[in-house]
Amino acid sequence: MPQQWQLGREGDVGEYAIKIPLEISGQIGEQRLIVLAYPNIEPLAFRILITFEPAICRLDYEHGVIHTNTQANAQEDVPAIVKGPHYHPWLLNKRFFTTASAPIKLHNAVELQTEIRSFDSALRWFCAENNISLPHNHRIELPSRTTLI
Amino acid sequence: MSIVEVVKNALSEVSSFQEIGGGVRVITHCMYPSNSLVSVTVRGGEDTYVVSDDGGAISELTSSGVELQHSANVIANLAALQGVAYRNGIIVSPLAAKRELPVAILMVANASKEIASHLFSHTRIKRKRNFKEMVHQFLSHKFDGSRVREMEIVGASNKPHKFENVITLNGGQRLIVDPVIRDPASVNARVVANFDVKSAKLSGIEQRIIYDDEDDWSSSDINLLTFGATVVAFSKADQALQQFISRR
Repeated sequence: MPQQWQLGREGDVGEYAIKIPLEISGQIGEQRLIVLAYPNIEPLAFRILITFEPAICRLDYEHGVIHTNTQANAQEDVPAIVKGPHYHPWLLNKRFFTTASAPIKLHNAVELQTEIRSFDSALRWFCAENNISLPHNHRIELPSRTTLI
Repeated sequence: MSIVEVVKNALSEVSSFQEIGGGVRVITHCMYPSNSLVSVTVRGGEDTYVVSDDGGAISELTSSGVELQHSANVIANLAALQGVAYRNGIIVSPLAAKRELPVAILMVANASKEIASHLFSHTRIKRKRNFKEMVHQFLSHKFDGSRVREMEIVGASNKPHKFENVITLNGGQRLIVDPVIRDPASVNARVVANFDVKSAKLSGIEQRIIYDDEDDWSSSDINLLTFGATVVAFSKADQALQQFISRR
């Protein structure tokens, strides 16, 4: 049976979420793999993140968006502007983690490889990138549209 | 190439217009706390338009893994200060005529950015350890669960105070075990409630305030708690309650 989606947040935004506990060294704690889906938006848009209570890395799959890496330093070797789907890796953002009690601003992002064009390929890539073992038959599917137009 | 053209080209790199269902999505030059550029959507007919952020301000926060802690009213007030409205999770402009459209786009983009910044800087990640629930479970295990009840008790001021754990002991004596978390509002509320009940000098009522000693409490805060009732650290609650029961 596919994963059950819940309304991500109240309002007219049409955001749906699934939150999957992550098992780390045999223990399940507060860490979650979260997928946020926007089934009524075209073209395809979704987000995949790992939370450790705040999000520590995130993949934003959305066409037409622009992200700027204004806080990157030379060693981080990221482009000044990233267009379209992109990824905020932990390694490039951990220096912005200053307190456990506030959300982390994931300032730095890199473009997503162009061959990642579907939710399944993005999810598999994201999990591999973060050493998450995702079963081959994982049953995580994006929700269907909820509106006609 | 003249410097004007260089600047024009540079700015065109970071703005775009895209037709989406029923409107046009505009990427503006405003920047969210995460450094993504604010995009707004313009929808409308021939003469009037509405600009919205399609939930971008709230999404900026929720996609950082934390839940929205601000009420809709608070966000609506922040939006109103910027001359826009907040409805159902989305920031929207008033109806704008064609000549007002540029200003409406700027207002919504700026409001979305400002509100996202406000939410980011005023959101705290709550500890998942639910101390009140832990205390209730501990007491339900220690005593017969049906003896541990939420109850209202009227204080000396004649004000009724709600206590989450009132244990009815053999002989009808009641023991209030009141959890407090390390937050000024919680400390003040629980001290006042306990002090008021203590001042009523009700017969057959004993009071304890219980705090989570895994938290970093200052001695002055613990001193303040003692004005309400005898204070017990959670790690020593079992021992302290046992002593109380055996002394009766």
